[in-house]
Amino acid sequence: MTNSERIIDPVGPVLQSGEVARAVADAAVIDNAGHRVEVRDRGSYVRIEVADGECILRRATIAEELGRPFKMSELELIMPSFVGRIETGSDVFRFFHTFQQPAGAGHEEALS
Amino acid sequence: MALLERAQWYDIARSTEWAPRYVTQDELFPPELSGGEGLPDEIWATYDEPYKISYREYVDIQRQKDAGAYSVKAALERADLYNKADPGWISILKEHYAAVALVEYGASFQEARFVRWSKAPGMRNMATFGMLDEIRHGQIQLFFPHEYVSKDRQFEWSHAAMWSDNWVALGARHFFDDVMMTRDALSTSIFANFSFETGFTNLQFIGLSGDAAKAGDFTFSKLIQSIQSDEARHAQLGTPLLQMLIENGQKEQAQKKIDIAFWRSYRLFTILSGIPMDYYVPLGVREASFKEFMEEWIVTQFMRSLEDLGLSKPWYWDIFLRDISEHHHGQHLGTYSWRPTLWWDPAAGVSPEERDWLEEKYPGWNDTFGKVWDVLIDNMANGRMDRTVPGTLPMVCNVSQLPIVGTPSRTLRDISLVHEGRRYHFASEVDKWIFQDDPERYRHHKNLVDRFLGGDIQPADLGGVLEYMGLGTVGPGGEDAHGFAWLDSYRKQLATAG
Repeated sequence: MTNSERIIDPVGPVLQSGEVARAVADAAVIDNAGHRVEVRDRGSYVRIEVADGECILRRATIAEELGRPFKMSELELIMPSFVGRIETGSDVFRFFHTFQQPAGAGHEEALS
Repeated sequence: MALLERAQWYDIARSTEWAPRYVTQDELFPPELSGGEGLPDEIWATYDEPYKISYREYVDIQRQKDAGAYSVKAALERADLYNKADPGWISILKEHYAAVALVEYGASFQEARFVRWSKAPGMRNMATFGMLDEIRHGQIQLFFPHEYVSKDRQFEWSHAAMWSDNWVALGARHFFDDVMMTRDALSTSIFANFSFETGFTNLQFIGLSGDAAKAGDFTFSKLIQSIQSDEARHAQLGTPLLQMLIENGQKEQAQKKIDIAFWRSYRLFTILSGIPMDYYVPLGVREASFKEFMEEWIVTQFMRSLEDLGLSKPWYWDIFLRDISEHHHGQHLGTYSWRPTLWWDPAAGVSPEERDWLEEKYPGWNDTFGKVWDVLIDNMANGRMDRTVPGTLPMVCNVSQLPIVGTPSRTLRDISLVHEGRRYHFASEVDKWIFQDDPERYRHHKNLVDRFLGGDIQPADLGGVLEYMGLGTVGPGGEDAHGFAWLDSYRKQLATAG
């Protein structure tokens, strides 16, 4: 991460790199206004991380970013994992935590 | 034709409960198969699967997934990856397919048992798709390696290994029988869906996909991510069950299931992912070390999901954090030394440049594992190959079924106990704890060394052991992946020094 401050309680999808992943990342910024969004490129996959324990993805926003119709179920084609719990509607996917991670908490002890 | 949105009909469609009149509830869902003793009867209808999909959506999406993976394979078949890729990469494919394909088929039975025995209608519904997922994974991972069989007979192990008594297959089968095949539906889902699939399979199926793409193997990269996109969905089956246990006073039982499954999964992945990531993947294309992937997927992501449920890190967390810098290095030394017992050709991965990388990723490696390699390399470079193959059998853990290893002169020790007259050996305090928690489950199994010492393997010599494991009969065993070409730089050093 280039930003020195740790993102607080990130949730969101892990996606195969490519056109749809880029559109979803852009949509995440629009649909989660007011929350920090980080896109971490890990080569063959990207982590889309929305801060504060909730990430909303809307079908209409992704379709607009892609410039073509999009079904939410198509997200599964490129989503091998995700962080947080999930709700899968026809128009909205939501990733979330129910238990708020306190600021500064994390699991850095092994990251020496 | 206008279709209703899924959410408008889904709750009605999955509500398949009825009151049995000819049999009792316990006859319909026997506790030993269904699990969930002590949970109130009315709770099962409230099970709400987080990741919902309709059959229509499922067929549409799965068809596209298969079309994507198979077309990448078809397009690249003429690229002749087998002859162009580094032999270390080819070894990863051999190890992976043989360790995974048949197990995936077994997982379809696991999901099928949920379809029949789970008391939660929502879970039965989603497990139907999980069952179809796992059939796909079994088939596709038998089909993809088949193109290599005519080039290299070790690829036949993709189908044969799990039917054999090879020691790696024994370890893998013992693990999957324990977590996937021999527990009630509720426990199995927590062991296999939650702990194994949302935790550890990400390491191999996503972590390794980056290395695959960089190594030019886009077919494998696409395949394993495609498989994991199924896992991400059906792995969600376990989460509502954990919540039900926690909300009904069974948090300790939930935690214990995770603690057992987590450790056993971890130890298996030191062989499946740990060794390949740190030794077989060609140095120039390594995305991250095994430890770094563990930190990304397990220490951070999986632990956060535990925390979100109100559960804790396993009691052995400190042991685990030390172990991820250690255990797989020991297993690599062991598997490389006993390479004739493998179904793949292990890469040594200890050229001077590779050792610099290991030292950077695991400070102190040269002073510990490196010193053992110094002796091996010295013998190899001086043509004393007979001294580089062990003359005795390793000690094997009676839980993990894998050799007992540790950091030379620091943590390598045998932990054992006597249970009803038989001595059992363990690779760690955690393995011993797992055994002691349920000795009846584990006490009867004989690991490869037990079988050897008990006279089950005849003739009782190396040839007999190899034949018992199918090596040389079912398929060829292992030798150095690079034909020891990596020794050249050490020979030059010797010549210069001499």
